[in-house]
Amino acid sequence: MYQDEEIKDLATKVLQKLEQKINLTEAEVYIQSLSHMLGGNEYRTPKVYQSINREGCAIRFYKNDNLYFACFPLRTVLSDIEKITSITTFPIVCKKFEFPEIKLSQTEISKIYDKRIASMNEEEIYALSYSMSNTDENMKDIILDGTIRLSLERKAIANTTQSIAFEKSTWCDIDLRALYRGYNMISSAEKHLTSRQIPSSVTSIVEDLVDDTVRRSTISKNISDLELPVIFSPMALSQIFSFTIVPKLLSKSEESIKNLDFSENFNLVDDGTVPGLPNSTAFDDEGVSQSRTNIINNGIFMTSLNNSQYTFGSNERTGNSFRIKMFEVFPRTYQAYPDVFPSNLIVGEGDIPLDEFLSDSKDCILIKSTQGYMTADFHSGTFKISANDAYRVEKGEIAGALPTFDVIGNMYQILKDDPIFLKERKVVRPENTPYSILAPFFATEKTTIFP
Amino acid sequence: MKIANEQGTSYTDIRCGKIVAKNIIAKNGLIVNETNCINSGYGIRILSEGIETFSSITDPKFAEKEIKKAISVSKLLTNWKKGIAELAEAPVSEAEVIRKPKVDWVNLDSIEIKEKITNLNSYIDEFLKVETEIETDVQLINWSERFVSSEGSEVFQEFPYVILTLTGRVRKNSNQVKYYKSFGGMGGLEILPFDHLDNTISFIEVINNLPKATLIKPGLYNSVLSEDMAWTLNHEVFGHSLEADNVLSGRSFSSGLQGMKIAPSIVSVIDDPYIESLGYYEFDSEGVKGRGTLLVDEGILTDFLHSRITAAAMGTESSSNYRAYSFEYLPQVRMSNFFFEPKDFKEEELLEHVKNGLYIGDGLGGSSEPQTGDYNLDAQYGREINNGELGNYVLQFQLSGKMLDSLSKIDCISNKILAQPGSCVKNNQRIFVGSIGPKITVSEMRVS
Repeated sequence: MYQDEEIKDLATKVLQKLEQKINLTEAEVYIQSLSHMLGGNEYRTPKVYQSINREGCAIRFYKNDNLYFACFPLRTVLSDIEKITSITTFPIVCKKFEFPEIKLSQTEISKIYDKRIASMNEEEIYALSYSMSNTDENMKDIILDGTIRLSLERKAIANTTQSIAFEKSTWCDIDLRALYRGYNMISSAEKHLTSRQIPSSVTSIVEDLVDDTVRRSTISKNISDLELPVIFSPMALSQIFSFTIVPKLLSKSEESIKNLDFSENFNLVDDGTVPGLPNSTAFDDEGVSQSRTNIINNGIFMTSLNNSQYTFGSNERTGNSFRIKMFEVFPRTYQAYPDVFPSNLIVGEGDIPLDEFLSDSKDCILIKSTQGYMTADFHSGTFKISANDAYRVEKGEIAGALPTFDVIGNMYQILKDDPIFLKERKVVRPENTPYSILAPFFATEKTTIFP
Repeated sequence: MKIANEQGTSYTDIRCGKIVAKNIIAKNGLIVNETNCINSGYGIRILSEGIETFSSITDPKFAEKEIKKAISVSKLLTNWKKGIAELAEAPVSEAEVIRKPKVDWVNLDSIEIKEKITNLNSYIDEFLKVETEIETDVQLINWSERFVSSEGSEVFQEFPYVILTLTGRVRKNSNQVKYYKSFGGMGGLEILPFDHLDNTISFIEVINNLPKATLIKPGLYNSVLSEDMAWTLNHEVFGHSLEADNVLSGRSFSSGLQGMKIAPSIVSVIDDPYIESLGYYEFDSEGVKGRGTLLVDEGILTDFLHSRITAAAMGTESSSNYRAYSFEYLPQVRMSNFFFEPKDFKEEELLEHVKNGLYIGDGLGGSSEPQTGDYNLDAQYGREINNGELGNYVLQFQLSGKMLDSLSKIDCISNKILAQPGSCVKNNQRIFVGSIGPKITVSEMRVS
């Protein structure tokens, strides 16, 4: 991997060459250097150890006031850019904008950088895999499958404002899956943990997972009612949110979210500055400082998220430009065109603890996880998802797992009709999304289900 | 390779790849976005102490460090659990496979490409009866990779891919309803509908009918599955269960069923990399010469898809299905062109057979539980079947069931096979495959 100074130096050299030799006076250079180490265990054997290194450079530039985009491997970028104007054929249609001013004095976000990860030492992966295997061997009838991924991302952004932003961030992702094979039935449960540092122990997450797996092996009787009170876990709520309300929060769709009515219980913030949250970084992918953005306050829409290209009627840049490719191990990639995405969404919590709510409520259903996101429509808010990890709650107690069933509703209607946000919140990263959501448990009076 | 050999590895292979890609997006015929990407680098796979490791790098000057790291990991791991990975025997390959497009996008100027997109849009517009936003997404890719191994194999492959995806968005009350369809495969611009505009007629017909489509009434339907939906069900739910890495890691409901009758005799299932589609290749990512594999022979599960490692673990030979899209990733056991073998039924006979039921249009993806074969798949649209004839359109809906149960309910398979571009994601790695297959009938399909 290239050294930090080499990356910064290359960013400057590429920009200089674009300006001086190719005569592109309005340009932006984005360099990403990404390393992963991946290990873990699979059926009590070590998983294949992988070390993935990606280093590339993305360039946006204006020529005759038209915007173009191309990217190249870092090794050859200085020669490849000589043909940049012939490679790019069609401009990106958008209102002309200025590449943002990169300020040199950015506030450091602490705790996003772990030296043990950044050193990419293979012994760390080995130690984590080994500790997971030890835990696994102490459990009877349950087999653990775990992937541990340590990531180091370095990015340098330079544009024709003549300054450079450079940042190093680390992540530790642990995906665990437990499988229980009982007589004539199989149950499994999954957990995903993202943090900026290597956790001190994986034991507690394994114990939680084992509890979930065993709980799922107790089957409840099928549901016969078609409308029931439902409690959505933070994960289930986040999955529905991702494909209904999230696309409406972006500046491209600002008009439509303004027309929606929300309950005054509903508060939503995007915050890329909280050190403990997974997607906090000093800069977004255009070099703009991340910030805290009040999106919905007591049910009132305040502002949407933007980047340089999509800043309509607002001078404030919220620092939400990210380069994202879905269905990738690490979705941030220089190969993607920068677009508007949330960083860390924070849904306001309520006052009632989950236990208290459960003991006070009549029989209901607790949905922990869902699948089938493609059947959500952000224009209308309607969703139809399958609850694949759900439990019947009777007299305040979880009475058993339910077979997969469909849940149908309209998220905008639910958020309008006095939704009940509970006290406990969790940070989750919905499947195939680049952002995290800190969400509470969330209850509805009545939700339609199809057993 | 020299560095790896000096370190005393049991086996090493290196893939050196280059991908040049252009993506053009147009809305209602006007080009609004273009991205260009060149990506190149090296993927190094090592077997040492019975442990498999993989590194990818963009610059060969980092190779030595990565190889040393991989060997150090192998030593650590084998002290923990004795490494048992080995490769099944495979012939040493030496080959150069170069497929050139008839019309190479690299040689076309912007005016010609623009004209093709505008003409296509004008043609679609002419037949559209409802207000629709049409998005045209054109992906143009030149892919090449050189494979070398410490056993002496050396294979170079170069393929051009083109994919055109049309998406139509129409309003239905307060909702937006959309339908998309992809065209293309391995080749140049000549295989896209630019010069065969009438290939888009079926796309236009679905769009025209979406505003009056109704919601499905949940229940069990005798159904005809379109080629795309039959492929989605076959590939997503059944195909992945036949990948030997999934079998060995307990993620397959087909594990333990080899040699058993799992479907009616009309059902045979094949994986064949030699069909000219996005799933085409002549050598897989470990240099094994491609071959077709008969996986289900008249209802009997006969084989799994293998890499050299899974083949060694299960005492067989590789089926040449160890694949990765680029040098950046460790290959996995993947399908190529995976399909139900076509049988003797004409399309009208399938509808006649069902008589009254549901035609299930193109698939939209979905999910399945690998240990049990339980699945939930989304269909983009459907049509009623009344008295053996196609009737009114139905809006997007979901199919669910258990794969072995669904396989047992296949009654008829059509005599025509359709090849479309497909993609598959496994463990966050996307790869091109052929979406290939005939139409099938499935009785009592659960729909909601």
